[in-house]
Amino acid sequence: MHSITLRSSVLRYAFSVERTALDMAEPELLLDSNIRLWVVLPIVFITFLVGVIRHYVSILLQSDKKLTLEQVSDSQVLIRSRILRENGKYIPKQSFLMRKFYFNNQEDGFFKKTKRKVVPPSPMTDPSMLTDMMKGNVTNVLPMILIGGWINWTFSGFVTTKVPFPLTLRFKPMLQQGIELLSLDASWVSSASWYFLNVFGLRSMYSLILGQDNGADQSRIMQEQMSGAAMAMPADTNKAFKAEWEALELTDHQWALESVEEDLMSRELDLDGMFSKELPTGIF
Amino acid sequence: MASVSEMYDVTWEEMRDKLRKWREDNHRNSEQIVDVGEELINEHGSKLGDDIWIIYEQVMIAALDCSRDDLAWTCLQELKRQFPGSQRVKRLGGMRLEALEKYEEAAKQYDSILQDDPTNTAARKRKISILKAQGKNTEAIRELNEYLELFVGDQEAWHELSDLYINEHDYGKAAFCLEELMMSNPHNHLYCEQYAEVKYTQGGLDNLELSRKYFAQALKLNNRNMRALFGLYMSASHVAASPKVNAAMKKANVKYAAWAANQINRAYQLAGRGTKENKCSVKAVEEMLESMQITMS
Amino acid sequence: MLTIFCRDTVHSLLLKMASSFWKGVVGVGLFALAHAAFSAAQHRSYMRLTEKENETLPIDIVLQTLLAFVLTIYGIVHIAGEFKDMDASSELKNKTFDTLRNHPSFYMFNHRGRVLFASHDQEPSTLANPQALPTPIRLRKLDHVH
Repeated sequence: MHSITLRSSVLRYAFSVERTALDMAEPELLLDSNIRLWVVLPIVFITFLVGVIRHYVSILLQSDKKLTLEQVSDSQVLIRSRILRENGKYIPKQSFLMRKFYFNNQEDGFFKKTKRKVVPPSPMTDPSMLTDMMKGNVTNVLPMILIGGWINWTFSGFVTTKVPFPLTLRFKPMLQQGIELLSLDASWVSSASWYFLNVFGLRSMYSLILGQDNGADQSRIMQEQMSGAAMAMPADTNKAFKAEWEALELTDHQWALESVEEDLMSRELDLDGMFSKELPTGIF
Repeated sequence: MASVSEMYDVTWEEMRDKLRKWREDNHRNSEQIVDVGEELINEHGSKLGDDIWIIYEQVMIAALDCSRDDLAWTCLQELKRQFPGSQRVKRLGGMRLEALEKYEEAAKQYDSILQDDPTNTAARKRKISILKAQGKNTEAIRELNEYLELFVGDQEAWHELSDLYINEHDYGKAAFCLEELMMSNPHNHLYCEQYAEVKYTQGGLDNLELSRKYFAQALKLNNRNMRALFGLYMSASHVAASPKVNAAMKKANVKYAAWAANQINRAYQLAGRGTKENKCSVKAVEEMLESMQITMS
Repeated sequence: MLTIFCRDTVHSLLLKMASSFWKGVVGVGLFALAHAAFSAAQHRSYMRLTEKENETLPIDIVLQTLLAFVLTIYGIVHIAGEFKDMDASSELKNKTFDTLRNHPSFYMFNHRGRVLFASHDQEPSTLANPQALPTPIRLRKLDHVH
């Protein structure tokens, strides 16, 4: 009985309100240093390790997507056309127009005549998509719910840290989940919110440790989910072709080499290091 | 036989790094790769970790170049044991068959890879190089064109096609391939230089002017490209000597040629800094430049 | 040849020494930073105990923090790797056609290598005893490269 009271009254808001002798105006909270050891650090570690585990699990479950020949070649055509738009200035005008004509001419330009059949992939007919979706849920949504719930349950009700700047009351539901204390200043952070801050804040740590394109990054996954199906399948090649056709239509040839000789001759050649370099000796 | 590490007094790490450098820089010094790689595999294989697999591949291809079938076979067996069913290893097996001149079997091997995965570009390219090895250049060109219809972003294939066209003296088409490469790598002076050379070879006033422009571009991208400097001089003086150009253009081209000659002189002076033969060599260069002028006009 | 290798080894030795020197600098810097942090914590608890509230950190801790920070940054810059040129074309300046023209996907194997490096047992008449040669042929070729 005694211990329960202790938990609710002391640990739950484990701070002591202490008025300093000098400064009577503002009451200051002093957090128990045990909170640092038993709440703040464990949450950081748990979040981090769960991220690492999720990374490896998603690698394990990954199934590499097979691209069809048509998809590969379509994407390469689009890249080529984009390069033509961007770097077309480096080739002579005639060559540029020749390529533009190949893509865009009225009768049988590539973008005009090529029509790809679009088969909207439906999850009902394609079992591999279904498994992919399930894998996504298993690695992303499930741990989020489980770990989040568990952390909320285990570490509920602690004030863990304070952000070093004043905040308005509107931040209270964001930073003080699980603590309904009206008089508490908004810049204090509760343990549940600390967990969420970690989930998003450890992102750069993951990319440092696990590499750039890791599966631990939750926020990336959430972004993908938000932008929805459009990101997942750039399926409509016809639309992409149409857009590329328009963009190419607007592109004109501005030759970058119009005055290259004058540019070159405006100063002496920098011949440094042309001859001073020693010849390579042996194989090592 | 003295080992490489004794001869050059290097550690196995240095040998490994050397192999990596060769791999990354795309060198084809197969003889040295075999020497270094064989010793590395035989004596330090256990220390290499996962690096060993790519070294096996590198050494195997080099061994095929040196017709060291024994070494190639060992490498291939190791790779097969580690990666059974890998298409990359299968392709290596095909390359070994090619080296043994069993082109039919090699082609069959590649076909079976392509059946599993029609997007496997490496196997397609091997099939084209079989044609090349058999001396069927026109067929290789045709196949390569078909390949490029599908994989239009493959720069290596574009360059190979331009080489094939140059061998067939089809400079217009070779120039087309090089234009493609220049667009993808606008900062690479070597593509510019080669394009200019092709245009120069094609001849005609327009082409010569283009070649002058691209020699200048190559020189702008890399000031130390001596070949482009000579090219600039040659093409400019060619254009200047042509009877069809008007006075203003002639004047401009004479100016370019003079500037290029001046720079060539400077380069030679810089090269012979501090040696006695300097004066002679500079004089020789001047004479050479003059004689070029004479033969052209 | 000997001089070349001597110079090479000295050079690589110097490089190694330099890199370990900078690692040492980073280590010292990090240690000093940690020490400064510890001192600051100590100072705060001391302040709390003596109930002096408005006192700032002593100047030496602040200085140590800043100096150690600069030192660490300076060291890290030296061990993090080589700087790259800002100019996009500068990396290509040392490329040559030897490597650019080399297309690994299109290698052919029916070239002179077949004859040049043919294994010894195939030509027993010419090379009956490879050991009899002063240096093995393949290594002699290596010497030429130097």
